[in-house]
Amino acid sequence: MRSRHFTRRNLIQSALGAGAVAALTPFLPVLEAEAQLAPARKRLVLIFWSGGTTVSQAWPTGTETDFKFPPIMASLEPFKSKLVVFKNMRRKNDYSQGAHQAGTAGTWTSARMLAKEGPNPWTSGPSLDRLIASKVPQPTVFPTLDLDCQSEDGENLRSKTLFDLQGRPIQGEQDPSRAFDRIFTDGVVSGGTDPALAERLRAERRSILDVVRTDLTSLQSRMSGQDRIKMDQHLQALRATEQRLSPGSTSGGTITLTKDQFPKIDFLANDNFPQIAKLHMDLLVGSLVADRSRIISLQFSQGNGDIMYRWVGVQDEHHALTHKVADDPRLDRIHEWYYQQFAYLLGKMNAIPEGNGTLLDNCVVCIANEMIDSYKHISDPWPIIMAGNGGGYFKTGRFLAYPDPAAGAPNTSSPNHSQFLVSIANYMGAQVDRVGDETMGPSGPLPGLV
Amino acid sequence: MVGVAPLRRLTRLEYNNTVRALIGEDLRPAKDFTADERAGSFPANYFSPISELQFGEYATAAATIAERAVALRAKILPCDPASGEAACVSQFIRDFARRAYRRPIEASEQSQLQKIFDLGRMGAGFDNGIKLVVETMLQSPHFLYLVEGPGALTPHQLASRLSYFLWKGPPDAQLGQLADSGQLVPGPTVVQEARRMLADDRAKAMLDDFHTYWLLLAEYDKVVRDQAAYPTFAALREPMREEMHRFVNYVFTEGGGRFDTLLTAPYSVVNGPLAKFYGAGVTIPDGAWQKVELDAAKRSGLLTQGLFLTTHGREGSAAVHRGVTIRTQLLCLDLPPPPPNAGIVPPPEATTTTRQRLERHRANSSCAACHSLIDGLGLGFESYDAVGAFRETENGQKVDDSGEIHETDVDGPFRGARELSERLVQSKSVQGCVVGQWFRYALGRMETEADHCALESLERQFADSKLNLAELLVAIVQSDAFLIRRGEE
Repeated sequence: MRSRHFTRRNLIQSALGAGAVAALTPFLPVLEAEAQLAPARKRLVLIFWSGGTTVSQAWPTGTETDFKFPPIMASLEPFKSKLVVFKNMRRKNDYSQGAHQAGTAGTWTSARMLAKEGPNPWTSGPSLDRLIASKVPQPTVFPTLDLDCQSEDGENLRSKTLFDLQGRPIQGEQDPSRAFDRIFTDGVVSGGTDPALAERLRAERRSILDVVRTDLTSLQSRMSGQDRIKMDQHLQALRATEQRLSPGSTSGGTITLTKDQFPKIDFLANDNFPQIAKLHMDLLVGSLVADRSRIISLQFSQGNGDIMYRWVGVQDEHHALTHKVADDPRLDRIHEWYYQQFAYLLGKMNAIPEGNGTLLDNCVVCIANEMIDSYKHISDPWPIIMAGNGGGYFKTGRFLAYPDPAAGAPNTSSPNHSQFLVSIANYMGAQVDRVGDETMGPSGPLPGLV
Repeated sequence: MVGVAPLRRLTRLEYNNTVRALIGEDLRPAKDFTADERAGSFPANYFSPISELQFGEYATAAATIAERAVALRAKILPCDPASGEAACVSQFIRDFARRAYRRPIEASEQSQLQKIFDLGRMGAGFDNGIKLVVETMLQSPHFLYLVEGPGALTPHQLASRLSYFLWKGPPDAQLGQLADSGQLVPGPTVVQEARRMLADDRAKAMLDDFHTYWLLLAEYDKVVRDQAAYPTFAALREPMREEMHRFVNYVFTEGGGRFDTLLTAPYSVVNGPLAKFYGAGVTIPDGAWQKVELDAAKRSGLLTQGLFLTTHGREGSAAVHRGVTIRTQLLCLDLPPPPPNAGIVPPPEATTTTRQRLERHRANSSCAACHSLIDGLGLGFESYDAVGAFRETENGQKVDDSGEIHETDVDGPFRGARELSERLVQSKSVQGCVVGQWFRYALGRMETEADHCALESLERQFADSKLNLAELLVAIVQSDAFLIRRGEE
């Protein structure tokens, strides 16, 4: 069984303190240097959840600076001063491929939906993470890191939140154990702590990749059109993997972490969902601390998700349940559980000192649902919460209630989803005026956020 | 003229079967891979390049399989390294790569792999050398893709087309020899081989796979039924799945192989609990399966079996799910996505029937446009509950299983699933759809405009053979689309 107390986060944390000097001696300088640089880093975390929330408890009540969370959101209370909670953020959706497709694939893209399955492109443009990484070269071994907790039907648009510049869907890593290997051990799983062994394994791996490259290159030269692109991209994936094997890549800080915290478990089994969720969040925080990536996304389930949240006493498939009755109290339990997960993540990030504040302070975490009301399958307005101030970039501790659409406020003149994405891109250093398709909402950043 | 054949990457099933053939153990390493793309409803990786994540999946799997291969050393080595290591390694590389790449390897490949062996041998001994060689081959594009072209198919590439269609796995030794000797070319040999392959057990698994994806039955894994409401289901879950497998294979062989039998057979192949479930009135010993006659008024082929009815049998809205499946999978007719606010289905009530609840679709014109096309098909299955049990009442009211078919050549009202099935097998649209579905499955891609002639010819042959499915499969492997490779210009 997995040890519940000896978590990797503790190790990384203690590595930043004085306690672990003996164990980490060879690697400590790297960690210290990184810790000092930390506040200057621009870092972004995108959290996606699905199936809508409880409409009557979707937002706090009160004023911009003095507000109160509804019961399902109560777990966010400790982080109030570090949040911006938006109410009535408008969102335009392209429902042409279906409501869940629009909600899920639109969340980080603000794109038009071109196809729900089959040959790509599926969207008219990339997701925010890929857009930023293409504009702002990332110094980390993973320009972006994509984690996925049990999305199910990978062949359908409704399971996808991330897209490359060509509008092709991107699948996140679902297996925390495999993700651990990729992120922290260069894929050299059995290297352990013996540097000579690790070096031999790396050398062997490089030689294997050399042969694979030769094969790919020779095939590529014989191919044309889409087939050639497949070989190109395969080579690109090989090169990205290879770079992480080069001597001197900053992997030192993480090899004290042990694999047994990330056991091989059935990461697709319904009842393992909470454990997988936690492991992914642990990986996410560890990756930020060790600076493996500065743009990390985590997707929970998917649009039209069929998870059965039995651990909060809900036996029904989530999506089927949303269709049954509006505001079913069983759904409240699911939504409350999700807010507790977000609180777990924020709490972890907030417990790690960094610069003059905490890791959370120096990041921006966006937490968004595909839709607001899954009974009606409507994604406007958009439930979105921002946490962390990005090292002082954003003003937090705010509840921003925009004009109520029910009171007749027109969509386009109200603060909009597309603008929120621009604000985040700008924070990350991508000087763009628009994220997504021009038909999908106004351009420019949200006013009054910085 | 045939459609462009894009480069295909092995699906998870094909990867697993290929690894099993290579090392003789069913490791199923692809279980954890990123989901396959689809050609229609069939797994087929033919359009996207792989991601870095997938590259990592392949690397991890290759390492795991290679470790296992070393543990099975005695089995996978064609010779004893103690009596001449260099020769044995050379032979191992040649044999293993030949099977992994599905063709003889070139001298340059042999020497590359030899160098990998030497590196591993030097680092940590003989076994490590073998491990690295296997690990390398399993990450090579020659293993991961069904490499074809440029130009015409080689005999080895044709062997792979045959085996990855009819067996979902690599060619066997006989196909390999026929390819080596140049005999495997379009003509009688291909037909002869296809028939031999169809008689092999590996084709049974293929038939199961085809029907699973054609009728969207993979969803069965996710089916949950309330134990209190359906107390017998838990014990029937696995048998229902196995019934489909056995029934389809029976129809293909002893059953005469006709498509209409698949949908209208008044029999099935069942075990004891299923015989009881269907009220067959026979006693079957524990663990045994046999063909039994069923009450023809209640059961009629695949669409009236537990697996289909349960997979698409949601409580209170089964008619919609069953109707959508018939329309998209048997009629190959599209449906636009539901409008964004269409999610509201009236909840199941204790006193109304599903039919009464779905009446609301008709009352609302924005619902009616699509639901008139769906519900009419699905309501024909109202005599079966959410786990496929026959029923005469729902919530205390008599069940009405009348339905109506639209937008086909067999339009009109009907009563019950049996009459629907009988009508469907006569429909040219359904027959054309079935041919198209097999075409996608065989080629691992969607049909295009350029495949029109090939498909028309296949439809004609299918009709001429009196809807014989085995003959359809043999006709497919003889069609230009299968035998001629057209690359992207």
